[in-house]
Amino acid sequence: MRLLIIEDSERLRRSLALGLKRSGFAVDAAADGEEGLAFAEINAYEAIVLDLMLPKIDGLEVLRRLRQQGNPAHVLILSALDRVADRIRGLDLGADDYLDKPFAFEELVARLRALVRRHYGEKDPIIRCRHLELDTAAKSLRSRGRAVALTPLEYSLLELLLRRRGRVLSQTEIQERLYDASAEIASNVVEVLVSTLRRKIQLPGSPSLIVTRRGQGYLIEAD
Amino acid sequence: MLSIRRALTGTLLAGSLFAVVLAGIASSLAVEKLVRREFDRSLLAKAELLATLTEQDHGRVTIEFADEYLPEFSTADPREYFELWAGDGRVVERSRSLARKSLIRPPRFELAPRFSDLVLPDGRAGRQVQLGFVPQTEGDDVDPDPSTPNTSGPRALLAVARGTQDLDRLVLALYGIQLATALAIALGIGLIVRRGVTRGLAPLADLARQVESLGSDRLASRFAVDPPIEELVPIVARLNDLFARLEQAFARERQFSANVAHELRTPIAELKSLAEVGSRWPNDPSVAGPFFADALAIADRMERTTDQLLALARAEAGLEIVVRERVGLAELVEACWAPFAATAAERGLAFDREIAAGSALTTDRTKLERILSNLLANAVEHSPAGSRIACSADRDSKGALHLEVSNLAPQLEPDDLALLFVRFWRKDPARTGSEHSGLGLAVARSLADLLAFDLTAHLSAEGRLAVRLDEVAAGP
Repeated sequence: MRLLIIEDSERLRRSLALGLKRSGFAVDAAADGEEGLAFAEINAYEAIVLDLMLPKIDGLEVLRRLRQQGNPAHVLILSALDRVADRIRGLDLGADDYLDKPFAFEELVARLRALVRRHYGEKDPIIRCRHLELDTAAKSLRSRGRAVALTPLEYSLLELLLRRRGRVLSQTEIQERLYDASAEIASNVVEVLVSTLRRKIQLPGSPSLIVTRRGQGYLIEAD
Repeated sequence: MLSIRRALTGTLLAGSLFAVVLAGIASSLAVEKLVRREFDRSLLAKAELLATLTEQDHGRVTIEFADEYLPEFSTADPREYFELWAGDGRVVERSRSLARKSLIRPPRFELAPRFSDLVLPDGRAGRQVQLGFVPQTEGDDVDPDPSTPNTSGPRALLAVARGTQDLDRLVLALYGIQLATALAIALGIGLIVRRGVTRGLAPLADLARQVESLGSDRLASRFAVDPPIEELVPIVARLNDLFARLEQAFARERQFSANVAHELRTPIAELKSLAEVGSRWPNDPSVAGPFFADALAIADRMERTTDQLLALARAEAGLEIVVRERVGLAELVEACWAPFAATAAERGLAFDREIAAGSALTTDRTKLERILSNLLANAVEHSPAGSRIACSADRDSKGALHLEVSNLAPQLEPDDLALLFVRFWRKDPARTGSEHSGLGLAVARSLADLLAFDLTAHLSAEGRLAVRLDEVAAGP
């Protein structure tokens, strides 16, 4: 799941990006409103973490422009402005959530997971598909009740395919969702990732859960 | 508790009642006197009538009196009495109503009538008039002239008496009417006073209600007296002025608290995030590596902010102690500039000094150093790269010192000047990117006040900001 952080405090931006990356998100980070808008126009994000008091273009204006452009990303405002009026203003302008600074990192991650679920129209944190149960809160997978060890990237790919069940995802689309702008990606990285994930979730004698559509991409078919 | 309404009502009522009672007593006494005088006049007229009926004939006094013409002197009710004496004291005639009793004979002959109270022969209270006169001679048809009484011939004394019950009843009735009138007037005055006082004090009561309804959350309200009342207008104006100042003070305090919270929240959020992420992945070098440097930088920033807040609070509370000493100005400017010289050189900033050699002043060195360092720090941070910063000092004809730090400030606009010294104000409201809290100039101004300097900012048409420190001339 790909996130954008727009935060002018360099130290906070850096620690947030690191923590969220280690929590399984692909993260881009912008230092001011202008840079944040540029990122949001180029890439598709499930969620955006937005500070309000930003240089160049302030956070509320960034939010207004995002909504004006029809950007579907869910926006979580992360601000030291804690007055009710500030929250109301932010939410009324199209934000999906509001978290005051200082905050608990775990809470931020949980709220972002909830926003991602909302992004895909889901409420249950456990995604079930045939013999698989993917717990998006615990970031764990069970196959017929047995735990399956996945790397963060394998987990993210499976979560993406399961959330988009029935839809073909191109290699580019998968790359964009799994890797942030700073990642260096080999050309066959998606193929390799799909191949290893297939092996881990495949039941002996059963057809592959992940279907390859030549020239188009990959999908998990809907039940 | 004292009450204006009660005091006014009481005073007005007491005053009015006193006036009414006094007027009632005076008028009653006057009416009584008038009525009694009229009674006496009537009694005297009766006596004079009897005197005209009295004659002398060769030294003998007689009276031509017939009961049928004056029945009140016989047995008719209410009875009246008369008795006529000759000059030698012999009784000439007495009314039948006296029977064998007698009235009080005058002790001596007097022409002027004399009135007195007495107990009548029938036991009633009464009044008597005594009259001395010389009767007219029998056969003389000339009516006696009261203004020129006959003084030759034998003398006669006459006493006429009449009961005063009717008179006393009339006087009593008059007093009753007066009392009832006074009570009615008092009641009327009471109602009028009460209504008048209530009506007169209504704007005050309205103002009291407006004051009562105010709380610290409604400081934006203002008092109104409609229509304007001469006595209340200055009070309301003062109250409104006071509330305007209170509102500003509350707003400043609220803003200050919010700003303090915000200033501390951001570094706390940074620190907390660093610590949480670091503790979750302690072995990740990209997390743990910069942790200590970041934590130190955050702590430094918080220390600067709290130092400035403390300095501001101490200066505003008058807790800063001024320790004066002789300070060389050129040396002070150099000492203040030294920490910024390297940064200025990196940014290509030139520093021009125009300070007369040997110029010195007696002041608190530490505080003046803090003011000057703040001005220079701002100049170094906000001047465009490659521009010039100037520092000059001179004394005017009165000997007052004027020190100025100036630099190009293209980002500032004239309207910003009023905000430069406001606590936490920054041109760019995005705060976390800056290492400055926005308190420096506010602290500098507080310290300048302590040292008896005016700290002001001026912006030239060319966009050059001059911050001036002017020594305030001591009063006469």
